[in-house]
Amino acid sequence: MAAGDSAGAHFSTRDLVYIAVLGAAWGLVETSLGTYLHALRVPFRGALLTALGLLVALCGRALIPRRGTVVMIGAVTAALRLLAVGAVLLSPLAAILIESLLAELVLWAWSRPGRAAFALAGATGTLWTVVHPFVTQGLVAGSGLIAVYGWLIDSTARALPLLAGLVWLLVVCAIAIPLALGIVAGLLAHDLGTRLQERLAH
Amino acid sequence: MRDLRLRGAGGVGVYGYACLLIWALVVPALLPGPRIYWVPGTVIAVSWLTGTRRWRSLGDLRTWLLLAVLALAGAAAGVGGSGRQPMGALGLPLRMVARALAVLLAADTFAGRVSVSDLAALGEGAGLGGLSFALGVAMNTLPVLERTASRVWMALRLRGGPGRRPWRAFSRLVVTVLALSLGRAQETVEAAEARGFSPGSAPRKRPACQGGDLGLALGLVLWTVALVLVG
Repeated sequence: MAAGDSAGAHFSTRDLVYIAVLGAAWGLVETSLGTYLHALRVPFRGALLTALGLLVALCGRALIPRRGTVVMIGAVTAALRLLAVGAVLLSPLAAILIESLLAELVLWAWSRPGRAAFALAGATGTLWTVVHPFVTQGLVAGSGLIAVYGWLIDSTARALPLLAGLVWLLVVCAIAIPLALGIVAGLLAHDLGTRLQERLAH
Repeated sequence: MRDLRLRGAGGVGVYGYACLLIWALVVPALLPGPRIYWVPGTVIAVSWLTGTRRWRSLGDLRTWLLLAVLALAGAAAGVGGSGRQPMGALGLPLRMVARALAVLLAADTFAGRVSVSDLAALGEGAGLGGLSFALGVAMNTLPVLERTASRVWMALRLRGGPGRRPWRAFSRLVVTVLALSLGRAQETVEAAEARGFSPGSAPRKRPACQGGDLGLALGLVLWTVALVLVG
């Protein structure tokens, strides 16, 4: 039952209240821990925050075995973020919605998602943090950004030819670290969701 | 905290402001040369006419930093790669800044003029039934959750902190905070059910499309055609 699925689009009152609490928990992670991580300029802070957020959302999916749970938790978190921060930071809001949607889409493929499905959902959601800056920068600055990136890569390669090989290493790290964080978050969410269910049953 | 009942002025609602945001994102790609400078001008004019008197992003240092970085990077790319840039050295940074300004101001207008309750209703209309109820509960839960997390963290520290098994301590912390919060949420469930709330019976309200929304959408389409063909 822990990570099973049941048909039906409607959530019960209890499901909705649980979704609200878990959405608030993800919101709390974003606003409290996020502030510290951004202030300390911790590397991969976006991926870390997303992994923690998805850990909470996927715990919710284990507790409420219905399709749409992760998206609902993401929507509640995004709305809370909009209320807390206001107009300026629409980019994190979009990121939360897209990450939860991606995780939900992965879980959608399974009628009874297990540990592997949770790990894949966590990894897919967290990998969006690699793509998201380019999407938002592209939306804001348009196609001119391609020229800027092209010039940056050209001039860096000319100025530092010895470091050219390191670019691939950086690219691999930029993908592998969020991927690992997402997998861990998914696996942990599956286990913690089961433990939470047992604890709430007592 | 923003006013949850805030409605768009001039008959423009969530759909109209969404149209303006999408227009600001899409139209710059259709406009060659200096015609792009009409886009931020249009966004400012529409925003002003629908009641916006203050753009939060203009008062934010990060906005000006972003525009400065875009201008400098665009100028450097324009000079460094001038052979490949048909717009020349100055055209690229100005286009990038104009587009960024239009998108930021349109997003600012959308977030400032559209209420969270309208967005929640939009989500409900899109199939996320019960989102408004969940959002209301979440807003009330947030301070309690914060206190619970703080107390559990303090208790963990008083027992010596994460110690040699930080992973186990982290799992316990998460489970304890969530279990306590979800346990307390049971009271909310009972209170809602006692008041006769049922998610299945609650009506799903989609925000109404107002006359101003249609007028704005039509106006933007006609203006785009004029800019592409005539400008």
